[in-house]
Amino acid sequence: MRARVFTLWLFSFLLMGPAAKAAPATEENLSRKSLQEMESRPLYQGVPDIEVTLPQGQKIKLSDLWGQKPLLITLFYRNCTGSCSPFLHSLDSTVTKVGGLGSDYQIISLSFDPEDTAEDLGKFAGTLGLDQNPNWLFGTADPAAIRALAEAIGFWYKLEPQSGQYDHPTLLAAVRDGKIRRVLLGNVVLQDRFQELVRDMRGEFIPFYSRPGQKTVFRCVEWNPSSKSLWPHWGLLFLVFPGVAALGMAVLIFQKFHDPTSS
Amino acid sequence: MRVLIIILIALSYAKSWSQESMEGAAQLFQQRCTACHTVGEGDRTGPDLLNVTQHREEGWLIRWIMGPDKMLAEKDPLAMELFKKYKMVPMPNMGVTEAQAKLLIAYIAQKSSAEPQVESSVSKPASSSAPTSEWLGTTQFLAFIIFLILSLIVTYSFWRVARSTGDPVPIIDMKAAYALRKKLFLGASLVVGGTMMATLPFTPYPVDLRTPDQLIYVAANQFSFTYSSEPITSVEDMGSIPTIGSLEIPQGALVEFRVTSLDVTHAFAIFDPHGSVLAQTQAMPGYVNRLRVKFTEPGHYNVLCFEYCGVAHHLMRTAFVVK
Amino acid sequence: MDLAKRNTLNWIGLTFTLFPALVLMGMFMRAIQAERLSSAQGWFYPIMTLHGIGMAGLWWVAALACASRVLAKYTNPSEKISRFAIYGTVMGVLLLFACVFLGRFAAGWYFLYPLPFKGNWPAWSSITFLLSLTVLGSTWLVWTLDLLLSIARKYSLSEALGWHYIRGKTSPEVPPVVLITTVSLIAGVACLLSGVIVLVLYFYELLAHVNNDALLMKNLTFFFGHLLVNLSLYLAVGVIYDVFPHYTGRPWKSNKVVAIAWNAVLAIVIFAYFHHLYMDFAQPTSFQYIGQIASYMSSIPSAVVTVFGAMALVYRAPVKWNLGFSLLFLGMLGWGIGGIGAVIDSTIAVNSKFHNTLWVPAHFHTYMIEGLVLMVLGYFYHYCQEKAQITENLKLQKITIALFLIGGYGFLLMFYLSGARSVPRRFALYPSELSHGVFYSQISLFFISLFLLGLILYLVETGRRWKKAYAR
Repeated sequence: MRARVFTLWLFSFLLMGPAAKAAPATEENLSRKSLQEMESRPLYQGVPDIEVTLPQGQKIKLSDLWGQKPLLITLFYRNCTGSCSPFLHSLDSTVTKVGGLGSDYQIISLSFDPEDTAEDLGKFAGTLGLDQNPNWLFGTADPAAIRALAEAIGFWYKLEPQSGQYDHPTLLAAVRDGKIRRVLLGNVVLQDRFQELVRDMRGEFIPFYSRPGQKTVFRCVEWNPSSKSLWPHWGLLFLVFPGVAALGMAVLIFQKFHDPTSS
Repeated sequence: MRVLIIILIALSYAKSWSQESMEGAAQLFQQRCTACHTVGEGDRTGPDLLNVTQHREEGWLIRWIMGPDKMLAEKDPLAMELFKKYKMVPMPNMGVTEAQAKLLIAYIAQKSSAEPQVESSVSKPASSSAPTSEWLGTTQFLAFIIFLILSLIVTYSFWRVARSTGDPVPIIDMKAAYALRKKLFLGASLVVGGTMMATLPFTPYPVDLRTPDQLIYVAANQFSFTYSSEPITSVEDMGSIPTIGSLEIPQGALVEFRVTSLDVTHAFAIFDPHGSVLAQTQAMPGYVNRLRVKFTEPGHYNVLCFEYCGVAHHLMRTAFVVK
Repeated sequence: MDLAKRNTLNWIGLTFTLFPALVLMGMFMRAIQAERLSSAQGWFYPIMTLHGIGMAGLWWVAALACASRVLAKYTNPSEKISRFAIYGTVMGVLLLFACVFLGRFAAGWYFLYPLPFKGNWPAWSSITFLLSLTVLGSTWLVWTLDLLLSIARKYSLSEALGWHYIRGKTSPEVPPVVLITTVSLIAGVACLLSGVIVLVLYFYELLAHVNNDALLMKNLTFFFGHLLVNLSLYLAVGVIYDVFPHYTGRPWKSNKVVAIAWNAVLAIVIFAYFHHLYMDFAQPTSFQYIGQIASYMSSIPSAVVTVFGAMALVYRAPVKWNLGFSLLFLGMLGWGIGGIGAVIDSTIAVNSKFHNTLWVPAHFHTYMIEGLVLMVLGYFYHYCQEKAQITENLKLQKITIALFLIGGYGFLLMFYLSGARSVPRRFALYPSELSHGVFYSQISLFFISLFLLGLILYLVETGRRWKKAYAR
C-alpha cells in the first residue's frame, strides 16, 4: 500500500516536471504572432499618469518619475508563487550587469493585487534585497488605476479562484517622455535586449555594432565607451595612404630620374 | 503497472521535449528559411511551403534542403522545374545538417496542419498596387528639366562653334575670347557657388537624437527586409527578437528607420504612393544608418532593395502603409 | 615596323576586338530588361559584371595608350613596357572571362565587399576575379610608373606640373599633354594603390579568416573606381589638347590658366569620390559635404578652361570635319553633358532620390559612349589615317557620326528618363509598378542598335586604315 502511494506520488511529481515546463511557459507557448503583438501593440502609446503609494506612505504620480528620468515599470504581486520573484531577481542581476540605474533610468514595481499594501511591499522588497536602492521603487495604486496602467502596457491578470493565484505574464515596460518605448516580455531579462533598452533610454546611438566572435580589423572609427565618443582607427590611415604615397612617389621619381642638364 | 507508469512518464517528457525542439525548429526556420519562404502566406522569392510535406517525398525534401545547389547541378528534374518556375533563382545552400532538415520538415508539417486551410493560389509577394499616377516626383522633375535645359545650351554652343567653321578666319580675337572666358568663369562660379549654398542645407543626415514618433529597426538580408522594434544585428537574433509582420505608420508621424544588414550591403529605398523614390539609405553590415522621414501622405509605400546584393536582388522588397 | 607603332596598333586592335563584344553584352542586359530575352535572365548579373569591369578597364587602358603615344613626341617612354602592358592586360581579361563565363561570378564591377564572398558562385571564381584584378592592377601600375619616369627624365616635377606658368614665367615650354598626363598619372598611382589595398585586404580576409570593415572597403573601392574612370577622361582630354591644333591650325599652349586649372583638378579629384557614399549615413558627415563641394568645383576647370579652350580653337577655324576630328570634338560635348548629369546627381538632396536609379548609369554612359569612347576612337582613327593615308569618304563618315550621335543620345535619354522616373539600376527584371522601365528598355534597344551600326561603319573605315598601317 505504501509502495503504491509512493509510486503515485513519484509519478505525479515526475509528471509535474514536464507540466511545470509547460505552465510558466503559458506565454512561451503562445504563437509567435501574439508574442509580437504583446510587445509591439503598446509601443508609442501614452501611459496613464496614475497616483502611486510608496512604502513610507508618500503619494506620487508616475509623471513625477518619468519627468526626471526614463522609467521602467513592472507589475507583480506579493503572494506570487510563479514567475514574479524569479523575474525581479533576473531584472536585478541584469541591471547590476548593465548598469545605469539611477543615472539613466529608474524602476518602479507595482502590485496589481488589491490585498497588497504599500507597507507590505516595502517589507517584500527587503526580502528580495531590493529595498536599498532609492531608484528602484515599490508601490501600490488604486485598483482602477492599476487596471488602466496594465491595459496601456499590455499586461493582464486573472484570478484563479481555486488556487488563489493570479494568472499573468511577466513584462517590463520602458517609458520615456511619457511614451512607451520598449516592452520586454519574458521571465528572464536578456542582457542584450536590456542593454539596447538602456541605450534607448539614454538617447544614445552608436552607428555601428560588432558581432560577438567576429573580429573586424581596420575600422575607420571606433567607439570609445569611456569617453563616449568616436575615435579614428587604423582604417583611416589606409584612406590617406594612397594619396600621400602617390605624391611621395612622384617627388621621389622626379628627384631621382630628372637630369637637370636635359631640357 | 510500473511499466505503464514509466511509459506515461516517458511520453510526458517526450511531449515536452518535442515542444522544446519545436521552439528550436521555429527559430531555425525563422533564421534560415523566412527570407524566401512562408508557410501559408503565399509565395515569396521561393514557394509557399504550406503542405509541402504532403506532396513531396520526405527523402527528396531532406536532400533538397541539405543540398539544393548539388541537386540543381545534377539536373534533378523536380529541382529544374522549380528553378524555372521561380524565375531562375536557385535556392542557396543554407548549410543545414540532416538532423536540422528533419526538424524543419517536422516544423513545416506541424505549422501546415495548424494554419487555416485557405485556398491561396500562388500570390505575388507584398504587391505593388500603387498606380504610377504621377509622372515624376518634384525633385526628380526639376532635376530632369534643369539637366535638359543645360544640356541643350551646351549642345547649342557646340553646334554654333561647329557651324562657324564654315566661315573661317585666320586669327580670332583672343582678347575678346579671354574676356568671354572671364565672364563665363564668374558666371559659372556664381551658379556653382549659389547652387551649393542653396542645396547643402538639405541633407538627409539626422543631426540629433530627438525622439521620433516611431522608431523602426530594419534588418536586410539576402533577400528580404525584416522590421522590428529592437535591433536585430545577426541572423541568430532573428529567432529571439520579435519582428513586426506588417508595418503601419500613423499619418503625420516622424519615423526613424534604423537600417542595417545581416550579410552584404543592401539599400532601403522608400517609394511614395505615386511610385517615386521618397527617401533611401544604405543597409551595411556592421553599421546602422538612421533615416528620418515624416509621412504626411497616407497610402501604400513600397520599398525596394537599391544596392545590388545577388541573384534575387530585383525580387527583394517590402512595403508599409501610412494611415 | 618599330615597336612603338606596333604597340599602338596592337592596343587599337585589342580595343576593336573587345569593345564590340562588350557593347553586345550591354545590349544583352537591356534586352533582358526589355523582357525580350527572359530565358537568359540567369546570366544578367554575370554579364553585368563583365560588361562593367570590361568597359572601365578597357577605356582606361585605351586612354593610357593614346596618352603614351602622344607623350612619346616629347618624352621617351619604354615601348617594351607598353608591350608588357598589352600582355598583362590580355591575361587579366582572359582571367575575367574565365571567372564570369565558367564560374558565373556576378558581384558587379565594383565588387562591393562582402558580396564576392556571399554569392551563388563558387569560391574559385571570386579568387580568380581578385587575381585578375591583381594582374591588371600591377601591370598598369608598372606602365603608369614608367610613363611618369619618362616625363621625369625630361622635366622636373614643378616644370611638369606647370608651376612656373603659375608664377608668370613662360619657359620652359611644357606641352599641355605633358602637364595633364603628369597630373593624371600621379592621381593614377593613388588610384591603383587604393586598388592594391582593397585586394590585399580581400586576400588577408581569405587567408587569415578575419573580417574587414564594410565602410572602409567601400571607401577604398570607390576611391579606386572614381579615379579610374575620371582619369581615363583626363588622359584622353590631354590628347585632345595636343591633336586639336593639327586640325584647327591654331596652337593650344600651356599658360597660367591652364596650369592653375589642372593643378586644381589634381587636388579636387581626390576628394570628389565621397559622392559615391552619400547614402551611407554612417560616413562622417563632413566627408559628405566635402564630396559635394569637390564635385561641384571640379566642373569649373573642365568647363571654363578646357571646353572653352577647345571651342576657342575651333571657332571659325578652317577645320576638315573628318571622322577623327568630328569624334574628338563630339567627345568633348559628351563629356560636358555627362558632367551636367553628374553634378546634378552629386547634389546630396538630389542624390537622395537618384542614387542607384538609372540616372547613375545615364551619366556615366554619357561620359563613356559619347565622351571617352568618341575621344579615343577619334584619336585611333587619326593615328591610323596618319599612317595609312587613305582618301576619306566624308559622306560615309558623316553618316557614321550621325549614327553615333542619334543612336547614342537616344539610348542615353532612355536612361535619364528611367532614372527620373525612379527605375532602379542593376535590376535584371522590373516589378509591375515599374513597367515603364521595361518600355524605356525596349526603346533603348532600338537606339543602341543604331549606335552599333555606327560602330560597325567606324570599324570598317578605321579598320581599313589600321590594316594598311599594319602592313607597312
